[in-house]
Amino acid sequence: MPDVFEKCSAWKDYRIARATGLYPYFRAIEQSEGTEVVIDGKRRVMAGSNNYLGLASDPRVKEAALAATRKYGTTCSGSRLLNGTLDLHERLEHRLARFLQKEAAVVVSTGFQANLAALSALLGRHDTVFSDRGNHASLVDGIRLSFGQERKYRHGDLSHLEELLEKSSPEHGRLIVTDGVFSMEGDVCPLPGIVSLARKHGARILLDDAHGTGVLGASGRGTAEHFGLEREVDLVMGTFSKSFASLGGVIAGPFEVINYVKHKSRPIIFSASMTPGAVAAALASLEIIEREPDRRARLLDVAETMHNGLRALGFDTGVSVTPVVPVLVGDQLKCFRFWKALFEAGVFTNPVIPPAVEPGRALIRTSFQATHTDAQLDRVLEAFELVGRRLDVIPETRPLHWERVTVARPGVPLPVAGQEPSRAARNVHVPGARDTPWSGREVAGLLFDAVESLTWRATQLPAPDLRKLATAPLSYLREKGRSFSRWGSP
Amino acid sequence: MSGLRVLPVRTAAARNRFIDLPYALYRDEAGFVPPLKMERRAALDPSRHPWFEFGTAELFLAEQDGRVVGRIAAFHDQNHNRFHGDSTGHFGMFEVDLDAPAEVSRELVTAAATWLRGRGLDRLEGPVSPSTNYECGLLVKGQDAPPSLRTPWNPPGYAERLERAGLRKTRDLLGWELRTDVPEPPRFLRVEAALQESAGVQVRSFDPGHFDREVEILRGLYNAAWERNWGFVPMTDREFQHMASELRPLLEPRMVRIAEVAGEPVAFSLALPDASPALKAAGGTLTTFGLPIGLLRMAWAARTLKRLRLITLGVKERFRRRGLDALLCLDALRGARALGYEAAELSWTLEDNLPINRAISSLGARHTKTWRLYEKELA
Repeated sequence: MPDVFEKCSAWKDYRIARATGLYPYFRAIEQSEGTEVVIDGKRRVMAGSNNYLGLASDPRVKEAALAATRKYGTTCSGSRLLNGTLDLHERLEHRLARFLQKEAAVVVSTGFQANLAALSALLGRHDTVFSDRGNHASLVDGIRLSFGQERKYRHGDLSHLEELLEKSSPEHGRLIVTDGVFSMEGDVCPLPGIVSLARKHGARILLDDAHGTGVLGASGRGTAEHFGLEREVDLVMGTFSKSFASLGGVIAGPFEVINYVKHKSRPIIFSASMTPGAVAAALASLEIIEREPDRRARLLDVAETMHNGLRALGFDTGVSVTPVVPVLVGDQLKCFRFWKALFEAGVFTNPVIPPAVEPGRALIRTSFQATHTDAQLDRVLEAFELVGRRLDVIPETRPLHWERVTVARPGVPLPVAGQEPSRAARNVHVPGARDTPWSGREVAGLLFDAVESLTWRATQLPAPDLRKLATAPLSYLREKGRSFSRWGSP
Repeated sequence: MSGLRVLPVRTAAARNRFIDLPYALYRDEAGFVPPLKMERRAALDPSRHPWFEFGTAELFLAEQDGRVVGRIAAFHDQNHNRFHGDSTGHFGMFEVDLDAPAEVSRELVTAAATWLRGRGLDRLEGPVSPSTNYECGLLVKGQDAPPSLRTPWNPPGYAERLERAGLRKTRDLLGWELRTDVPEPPRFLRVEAALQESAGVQVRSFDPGHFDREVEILRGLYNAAWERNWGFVPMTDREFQHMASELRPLLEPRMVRIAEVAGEPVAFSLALPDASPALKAAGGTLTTFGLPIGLLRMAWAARTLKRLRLITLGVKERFRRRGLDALLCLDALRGARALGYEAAELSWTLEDNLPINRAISSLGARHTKTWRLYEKELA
């Protein structure tokens, strides 16, 4: 009789990783000051945390959490539906709804659960959900939990999304689900394109802005604010473990939708609510986000420094324009070695291997905080340079030229996911955007180009001997004219 | 190095500059045969060329003070690595303005190497474009010999530039010149007689009426015959079909021969008219300002093609050492003479393939060209 635990003993990866001494996971932090942590008794720069604004160690946030714990206790001991709602929860929901410019919001115990809650409640058997292939695991699982039909579109590929929208059943309700900022590679979703497709095909949009809220937009309201499309995004989802220095998630949208989700979704009904400390921390962070835009500016400066600093050394930081800075290593084993070497050099990062990324594209994911000092950033760059050279990820000499990254500051037009060529590495060329009108010469050039192309393709058709082409052009043309319908077949 | 930038190709305009570089550099060189620009575009278009189903490429341009002074392409061929069980990256399409400093070639090779290393590859090989099934090798001898169809031409300085960039020779490929008026060597005639008596070998021409079926037979023979050869990668169906349809306009059925034993195809030879003079006449474009000037020039020059290129010849493993390759060579020679061709270039053979090289020289061919393949460790 098969044993349900057999797969656990058969799983070798863990033992292999431990045996090679390259096991990077579940490292226990003994002490933390936000930008520096102590692991295994040694101080290391934390370059792998999503504590973007550095508020997790802010005394005001800590004080708010402690005060709430003193007032309400350590936990609510129940779900929101029954005994687990505090006035603090409602205050946070009102403040967030106002911040995210939506009618209502509901806070959930974790961000992961917020996605499970929204998707499982909203998608029925007669709904189709269109999901970016690069979406976070919580969205994938939320869709699995629901009864909706799923259609995955290639990462950032609007034409594929359009194709899927056109082919989907017209009787189904439609929901497009995408990360705002993709968590692994830090690229931004093509929101303007998604919005126009949603309008055209009558679809709703759920935007998971976990890595965008508090980071992007003039007021820190996230990806939708950055693109000026807040009103066009129907549901926004956010998390508190990143810029909000807490633990939890929020779904914000129209009152009726949020109300429905609150009452119908099992991950809210059957799970204990956010602890008082967590709610208070989120509230305090929200206030700081609203009152301290410099913090955000500093975060984006840090991000730009690190992107360009790493590229100047010869690293490939992919398509990110956010404080998520992935460094492409390629081979999985080398990635682990890289992680270990950085760790030993005093820098804590996150190794990312397949299946979270495509095979052959293992990367070291770093993320930076507004509170990182310049000295800490220099240490990180030094460590990367040393390790990168030693493991041959970068050449001995710095490149003469590298592409500068401009991070997503408010008002900066972005290269969006899926269109950036190095991401879709198969594309050899990408038509550049034009900012000047076509000149007559260019138009003529295009026309002649088209004629050349057609002529060349015509010669590719099955033709008699080249010699005959010249000696009997008319008969050839006559023959081809007769068989016009066969043109195009080999 | 002031003003030198090596950048990956990202726009259509940059891609056109990439393709145009050799025309600008070698317009006046006798040995350079300008490929049709549209054909080059299609060859680099992932949506049109079947190599990109399993391969990825990155093109790099070196620009100095706004002028293009060099180019290189880096290829990541998954099929090659799967077949050989290694992690090799390839480079190709290497062209550099020899008047520009040596720095340029070094930077180009570094750019390609870095890109490949970033994809987890640890060895660099080339030049190929995009694999050994297409154009490959750097011409190191024979710059003044008559050019031939689909073989690379480079000026003499490239070899030194690549060597200075850290590349080392790995293998040479030889090109041979055979005049069709050579006497048929007695040894070959003896082999022919023996084969016809004993093994019941029949040699037939390609049947253009059943193009697809014949192409499929050739593909099977090509992959089976070449499997163990150094540097070989099997072509996928679509690669082979694509190449067949590209070469179809040049097809001379009598010059594509299949040897059969008891009805089973066991060997083949493929020779095509060398359309280099026609391509040279066209100069890279079939039309000028919309008028088919290049096309007409090409067609005119195509009337009097005097040379052939014997591209490939293969015998299935079980049927080797019976003289089938000698038979096919002799047969190709006869066919060429009958059709009025004056000379053929046999290219390419591996320098260490002694049996075939010996056979070709005893047929009367002279070694006139050498292409070199290079390699370099990346990690």
